[in-house]
Amino acid sequence: MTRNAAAIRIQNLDFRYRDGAFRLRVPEMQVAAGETLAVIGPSGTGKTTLLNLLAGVVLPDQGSIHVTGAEVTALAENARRAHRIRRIGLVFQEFELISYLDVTDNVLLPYRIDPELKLNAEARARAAELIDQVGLDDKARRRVTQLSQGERQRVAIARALVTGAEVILADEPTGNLDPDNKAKVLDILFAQVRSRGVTLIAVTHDHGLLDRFDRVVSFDGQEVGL
Amino acid sequence: MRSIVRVGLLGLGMAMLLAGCGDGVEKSNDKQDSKGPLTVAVVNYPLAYFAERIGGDQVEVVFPTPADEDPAFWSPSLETIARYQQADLILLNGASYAKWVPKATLPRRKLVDTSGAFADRFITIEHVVTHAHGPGGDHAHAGTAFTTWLDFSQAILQADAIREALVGLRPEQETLFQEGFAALEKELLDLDRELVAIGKHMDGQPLLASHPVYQYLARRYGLNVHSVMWEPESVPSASQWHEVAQIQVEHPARWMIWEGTPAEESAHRLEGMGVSSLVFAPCMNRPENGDFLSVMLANVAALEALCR
Amino acid sequence: MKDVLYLAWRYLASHRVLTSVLVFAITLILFLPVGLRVLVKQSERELTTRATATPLVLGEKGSPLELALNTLYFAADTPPTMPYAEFERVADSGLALVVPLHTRFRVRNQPIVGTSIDYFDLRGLTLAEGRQLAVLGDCVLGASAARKLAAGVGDHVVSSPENVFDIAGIYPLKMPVVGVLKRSHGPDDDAVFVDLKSAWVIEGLGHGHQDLSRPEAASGVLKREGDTVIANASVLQYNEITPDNSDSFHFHGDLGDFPIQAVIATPHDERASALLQGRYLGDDERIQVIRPLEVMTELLDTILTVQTYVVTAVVVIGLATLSTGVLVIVLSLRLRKREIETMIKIGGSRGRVVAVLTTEIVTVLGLGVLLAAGLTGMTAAFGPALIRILILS
Repeated sequence: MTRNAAAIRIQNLDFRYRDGAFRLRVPEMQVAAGETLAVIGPSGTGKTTLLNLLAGVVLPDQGSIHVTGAEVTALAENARRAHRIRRIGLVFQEFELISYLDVTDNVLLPYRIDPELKLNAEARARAAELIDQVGLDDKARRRVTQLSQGERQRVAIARALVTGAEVILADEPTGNLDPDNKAKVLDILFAQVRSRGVTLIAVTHDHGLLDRFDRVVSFDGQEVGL
Repeated sequence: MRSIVRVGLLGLGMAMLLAGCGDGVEKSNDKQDSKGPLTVAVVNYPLAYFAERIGGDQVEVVFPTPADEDPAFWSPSLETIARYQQADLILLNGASYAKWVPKATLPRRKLVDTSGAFADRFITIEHVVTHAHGPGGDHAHAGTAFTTWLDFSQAILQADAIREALVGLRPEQETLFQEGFAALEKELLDLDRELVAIGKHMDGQPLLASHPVYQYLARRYGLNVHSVMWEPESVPSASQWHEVAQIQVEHPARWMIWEGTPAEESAHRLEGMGVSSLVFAPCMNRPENGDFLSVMLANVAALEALCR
Repeated sequence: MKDVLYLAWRYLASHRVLTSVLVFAITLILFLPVGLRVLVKQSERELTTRATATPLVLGEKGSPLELALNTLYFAADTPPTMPYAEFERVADSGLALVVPLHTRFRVRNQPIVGTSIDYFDLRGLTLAEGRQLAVLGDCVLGASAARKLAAGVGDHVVSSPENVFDIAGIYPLKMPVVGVLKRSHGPDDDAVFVDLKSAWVIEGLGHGHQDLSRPEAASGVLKREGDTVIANASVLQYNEITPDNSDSFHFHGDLGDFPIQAVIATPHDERASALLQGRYLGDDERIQVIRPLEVMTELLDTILTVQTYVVTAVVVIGLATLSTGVLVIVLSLRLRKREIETMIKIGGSRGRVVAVLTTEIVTVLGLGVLLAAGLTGMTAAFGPALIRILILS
């Protein structure tokens, strides 16, 4: 279903791992801007690979991928990287925070690791706002190792959004959380993406969460039809 | 961040320490660098005279003993000792003259023992006699006789030691110093010759001496002298007169040699004992009138009177 | 650049122990060979400068090193004594400027150097305050001695007895401080300088006492035999030389037999030096003449030999430590693989990430270098004093 202009468009995607053991083919896929899409399916069906392809971390052997108006598959590595850090936010199952940085520094990390992004007052203000919105205002200067798992994932969500990303790619965002935290984190994630009109594509094994999403895609085999 | 600042400051401090080492040692002020007259400090007047005669305008003689003090027993102040230390040359008489010298700190390299050449011929005084006179208070003539210059052959050796020391410091003025010494030597030789003749003429005639300061004079010129401990300005005590009377028994002297003009009473009483007085001034300090040579000429003339 | 530095510093600060260990290891790797080299250079300079300024030293036959160290540094081990007459012998020869040294006694830990006033010209020592030695009993302090003894011009210091239990031994002498020297950055700073004769008074070879010919000293007279007065034990001996009693001070015996430890001789020229040394070549000669520069050079050769071994060992250990340090860094990077991958995955510039890691390593190296430089600087500053303590104590 196309709600708004497509934030993501895939055409004739054909991806194989080097050893040829795995192959992912996506003839056609579109995700509208602001749409929330859940990707489900058994392990090894290419769900995480899809996220990596969308993020520009890997390139397909064939086909094109457009994300927020940029043809990712046509960009050089550095350009893909730059596009990723500025337009795409990533949320991981294991949170993937930097243990020796505090909450604020973790949220601001994208600004420190991209030469073009300027860590100015505006960025700091945006980070502070996000930290507040994910409910960690009183722990802004605490080391992330001192936070609970749910709190860490909230930091990850704030980090994913701090550069003004238009797309969030989440790989099992609640996979390591207990039921309480799962609900809280999802509430925050969805509140953020809805309020900002951000496109969310989340890989999940938890079928109990599917009704929150606008659309669900099932990866049953190597070919996905959308 | 604070640690970086701390380490940085530490490194800066170390660098400053390195830069701040060492003040350097200053060399002491050496007056010999100057080409002005040499400062020659002396312990008695004969040495001052010899230095002036030999050195001429190349020397500035420092003889700080007050005129009314006996240089042999005088003690200089600390400031005066400092003047000696700063001199270019310090002339010592030797023979234990100047009792203050062994207790003072003087630079060895500037010291000249003018009687070193005849140190093996010093006269030892066997009897220690303690007495009191003058502003110096008690003193004793003990150990070694020190009026070495009254033997004019020794005086010449002392003058020669001065000449040699001056040449050592100002070799370019050797000719000048040699000329000064030669003139002085001639005069001392004349004195020596005259006294030898007088001594021969006297042929062992007994003499009295008011003070034990004529040992070298007696030895050199064959004078038969017996000394007592009298002072020219003081009238002897009864015991002292008695002592002389006793001496006269074995040593019937008709003359007493005085260091200076005796008190009238002393001279008169001696006359009554058949002893006339004559003055042979040792000239240890600067004379009121004349100089060393004129004083010695007068001394010789006084002794010559004994021969007539 | 700011962000790179920030991330690098956050990592290092949060791993203080690791960072400290690495910095410490690098500091040691750099400082040990360099600091040792500086110390050896300092030793060379320290030992040769003073030795060069001391052309010849005469002393009783024995250990040349002991004689040299005692003469140059007033080391606690005093060599056997020689008679003062030997000093006069050299002085009278006219071949050299000579300075006697008597170094047996101490004021607490500061050596008492009995010498002549020529010593001060020999060493280029000048006064900071007060005056030079002038009369028996005076003492002049080196700059450090004045500080350590808390004494200045007008104060007094007392020579220390050699043995507190030997009541019949050497009496302490109370000496007025008449001058304090300017700092010379050498062993002279620690010395208490006195006239040689004052040292002999401390040794008991000279003394002052009541005039036994006076009526008030009658109780001190045991008996009189002609001109000789024999005193009993009650006669008062002075333990301080003052203007009032200095005339009473005297020495018994021939000064030529009195002891000194050494004679420093500065020959007028090479010929005079050869002549002077030639005088003491005989096998039956009890006096030895040493050239301190040769003795110190020999000592230095020993130090340099040891240095070679030490430096070799240090370099080997250093290489091992460096290898360990590299291993630690490599392992640490391996442990941080996930962190690095995360940064890349979320879009971080590879160059940035490498820059952060490189900055961490450079910072650790830099701190190590800085500390090593600081320690080397301290070694350069305090080296001479350390050398004196290590070699002489």
